[in-house]
Amino acid sequence: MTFLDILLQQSINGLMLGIMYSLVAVGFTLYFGVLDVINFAHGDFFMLGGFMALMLYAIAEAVGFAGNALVVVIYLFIGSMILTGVVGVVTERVCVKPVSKAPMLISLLVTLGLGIAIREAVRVLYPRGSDPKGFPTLMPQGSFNVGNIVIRYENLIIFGLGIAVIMAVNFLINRTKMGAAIRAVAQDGEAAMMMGVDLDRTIDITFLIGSAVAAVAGIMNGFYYGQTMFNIGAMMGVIGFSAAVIGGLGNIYGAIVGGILFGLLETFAAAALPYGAENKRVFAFLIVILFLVFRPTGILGEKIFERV
Amino acid sequence: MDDQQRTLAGPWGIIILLGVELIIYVLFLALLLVPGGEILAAEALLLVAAVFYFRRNPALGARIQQLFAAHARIAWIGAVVLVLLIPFFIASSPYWLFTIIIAGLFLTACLGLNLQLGSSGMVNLASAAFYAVGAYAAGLLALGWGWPAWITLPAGAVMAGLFSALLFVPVLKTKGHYLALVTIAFQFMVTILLDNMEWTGGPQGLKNIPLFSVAGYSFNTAINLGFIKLPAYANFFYLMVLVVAVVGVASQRIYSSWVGVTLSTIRDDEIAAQTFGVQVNRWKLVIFSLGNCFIGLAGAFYSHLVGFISPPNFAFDKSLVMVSIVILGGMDNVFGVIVGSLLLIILPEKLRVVQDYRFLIYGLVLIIMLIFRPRGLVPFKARDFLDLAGPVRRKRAASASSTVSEGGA
Amino acid sequence: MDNSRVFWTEDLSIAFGGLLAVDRVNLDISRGEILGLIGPNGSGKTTIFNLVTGIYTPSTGDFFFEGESLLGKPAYQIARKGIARTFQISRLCLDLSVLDNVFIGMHYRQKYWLVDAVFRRRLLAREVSQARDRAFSLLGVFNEELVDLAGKPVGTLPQIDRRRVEICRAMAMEPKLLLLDEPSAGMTPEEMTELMQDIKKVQEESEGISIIIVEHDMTVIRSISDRVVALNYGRKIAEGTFEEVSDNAEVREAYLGKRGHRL
Ligand SMILES: Nc1ncnc2c1ncn2[C@@H]1O[C@H](COP(=O)(O)OP(=O)(O)OP(=O)(O)O)[C@@H](O)[C@H]1O
Ligand SMILES: [Mg+2]
Repeated sequence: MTFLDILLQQSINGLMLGIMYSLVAVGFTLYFGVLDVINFAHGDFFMLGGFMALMLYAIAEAVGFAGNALVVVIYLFIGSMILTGVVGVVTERVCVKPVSKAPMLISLLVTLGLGIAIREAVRVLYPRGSDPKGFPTLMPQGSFNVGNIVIRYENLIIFGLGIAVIMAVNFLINRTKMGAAIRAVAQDGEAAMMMGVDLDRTIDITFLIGSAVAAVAGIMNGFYYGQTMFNIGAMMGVIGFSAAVIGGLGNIYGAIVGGILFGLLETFAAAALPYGAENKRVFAFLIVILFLVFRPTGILGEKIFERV
Repeated sequence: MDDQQRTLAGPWGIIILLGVELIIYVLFLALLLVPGGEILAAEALLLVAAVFYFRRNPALGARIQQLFAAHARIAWIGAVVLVLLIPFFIASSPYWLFTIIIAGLFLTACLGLNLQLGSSGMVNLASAAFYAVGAYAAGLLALGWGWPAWITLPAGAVMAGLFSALLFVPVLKTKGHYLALVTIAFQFMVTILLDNMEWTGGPQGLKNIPLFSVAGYSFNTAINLGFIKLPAYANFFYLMVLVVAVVGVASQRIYSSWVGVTLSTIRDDEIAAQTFGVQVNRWKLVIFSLGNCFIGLAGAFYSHLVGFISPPNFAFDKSLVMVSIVILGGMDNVFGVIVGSLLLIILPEKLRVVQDYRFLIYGLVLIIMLIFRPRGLVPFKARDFLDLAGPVRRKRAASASSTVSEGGA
Repeated sequence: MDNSRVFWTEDLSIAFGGLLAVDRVNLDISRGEILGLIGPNGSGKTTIFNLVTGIYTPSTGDFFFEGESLLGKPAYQIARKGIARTFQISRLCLDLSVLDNVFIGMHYRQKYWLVDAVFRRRLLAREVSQARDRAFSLLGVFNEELVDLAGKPVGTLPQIDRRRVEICRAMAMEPKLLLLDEPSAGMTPEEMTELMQDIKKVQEESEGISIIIVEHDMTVIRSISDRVVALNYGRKIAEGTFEEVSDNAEVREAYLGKRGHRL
């Protein structure tokens, strides 16, 4: 393989991961927009999405409805998005919104606590929840070559799906009335309310979308690695938040760019640096810290003057 | 009113005060020694009842507080004696003694974290990482160069303080959520590196770290007093009490000084602080490092207590526990941190009866507590400096009676 | 350069994005003078205070205190030269006691710090006790009752007392130049007069202190200031005695045009 080939191959892998991260990052950015909170439990909704899909699959198998792979995959995605979205809205109502006006430390710790609760609930309630859970192979296996680069069908599908979801979210936020409401609230909640936007409903919908999108990422992750586990949410939360910040917190495109950048950073670090494979995240987090220090508004954020 | 004041000052006041301390003490010991979950439920009910009772009779609570303020010295002596007697009462259960020592280490670390988070408003979610620095420094120095524990203990603290420098720039340049993210990222970086580096033992960590021994006396020997035999952990317990006392007194003195005032102001309003000549950055760095020293000290102690450390001991969830202790206990408040560490370290152990569900309960309790009592169990009290500068003497004779304050110790 | 000028600015300017919030402003104030700074909302009064206390950095221009340029100096150093201020929107620490808030004004004069706090309590105790006496006598000037409330959180005080505490905090610094940003906002006329008398009293006690005061209430400005400067859209449009400035056509237009303010 030539250097260029390696570069391309790694880029493709990085993009794959990056899309997944973007989907999680979008949630962080949306929540920050409408509620001014960082929901540190968001990574656990990513995990929850995977488990919801597993549960739905088990049910489908039990009733003998696991025939057509395409139908099952659609059923898993839609079902898990709905279920995870509902959990997202309920938790938002019960514990995220009530602390959104509290000092930042309180909301931080409450959402961290929520993350623990979700993680542990999955571990305790799911049969043998502490073990890694295998994901069914429902996607076409095998791969094809473009030059020297290997592309797996499964990855291609996942990638396409991720892009589709991102485009859908973008459409929702930027082209629909609901999206307009969300953007208005993100700009200025009080003003939006005066203009007749139903604040509570908008926040609910935002959490519904955010959690559902995280669920998609969770299922993609399951198919990609062939398994999932109850404790993968914490790390994914940090990655998602990092991605949102690199891109520019509060900016949807920022979240997407940030996610992809994080994915690329990780894969290139793994391929190019000595001891890179084990320490790829050390490198990625280092870059994140540098970003926070030297460009806290992220790639797409604007500089703001602090008012005194 | 005057009558009451007199009884409070007299011997009855002292007896009541010691009685209150004793009741708390007995309840605490009972919680540890009575097996099963019923005692926990019973005491929880008792606590709820007490809270309601004091809510309805605030005067009684205020009087008890006055009592403690009036006889601060006696209250302290009583408390210290009771604490020193703990090993005698739970000699039969080394497990609980060990748990209390662990609680003491968390207390030490959280006093450091409280300086950063509670007093100065610097979010540090990497406390477990600095705990690791202290622990690994002590372990490596003891294993590699055979340094004795009485040197590695301060060495661990200093090392954690030095490692703070890695985060100096981010600490000054970021705050709030961003600083939270920086420190979480740092925490993950440290855990990953510990796992992957060879010279820290990788995933296996460090084994056979020598336990404490001073001048040939190994802390791993049981104390035989003739009438009673204390488990070996009693040695560690007393050392822990010493460490906690030093760190606790230092923290309280910092709180009640110009430094405390300065840090509180930085926490509440950096711009206002600067406008009055405060070198905000300098203080942030000093306190960030000092806090991490305390955390590292606790880590070093941990190394020599258990003799075996590995990366999972220092993962993100430990940071979370420490932050919860500070926030749930009550920020910028030494007493709050004490209450927080006792509750958050000992209760989960007691919850072992519900095994699998305990972390779930932990998460839920955290959420509920924070939503309903965001200022913690022991809320921050505005400083009046009566303890340091004494009662207020009014110079202006015109302004009549001198009932301004009840006086300090 | 005449010696009586304690403080002056030279073409001080700052732009936020495209907005020139302060545009080549020249101010000066001499020892013991009270300078009124007026102008419609958004004319840049607060921004000037933020510039000269080092919170914002000027885009161009310079400012001098006792003959020395303070341009580019960090806020804490400027404060230590002897410039104190209050804020238009109160920046007291509401959870802290009245005493703590006043103490921060004495911050850089204190001698006993971290190591002393832990190991030399006696010395610290003496210093605290002296500082407390000073704080009480300052508070006493404004309101005797504040002395009794000194251990209570500032957040529990009524608005007017908070304003007073904020001025005490600035006075505790023993500044040579005091910047007051709408100290009487939200007060009744009686309270305002009382506050102005208190400020006068404080000024007489600490001789030589110069004060720049921003106020919207013209009776206050008339009664207290020796000289008045009027701003509009970040530019200085008039300067002189109160009568001169209030007769100025541009000033009248700025106020009337903006929101019909009565002069
Ligand atoms: N940090 C900032 N970022 C952007 N614009 C600012 C900032 N601070 C002030 N401005 C703008 O500068 C202009 C001057 O504001 P400033 O607060 O100085 O006015 P002011 O004269 O104090 O008015 P007021 O009487 O309302 O207090 C305003 O247009 C304001 O919007
Ligand atoms: Mg203003």
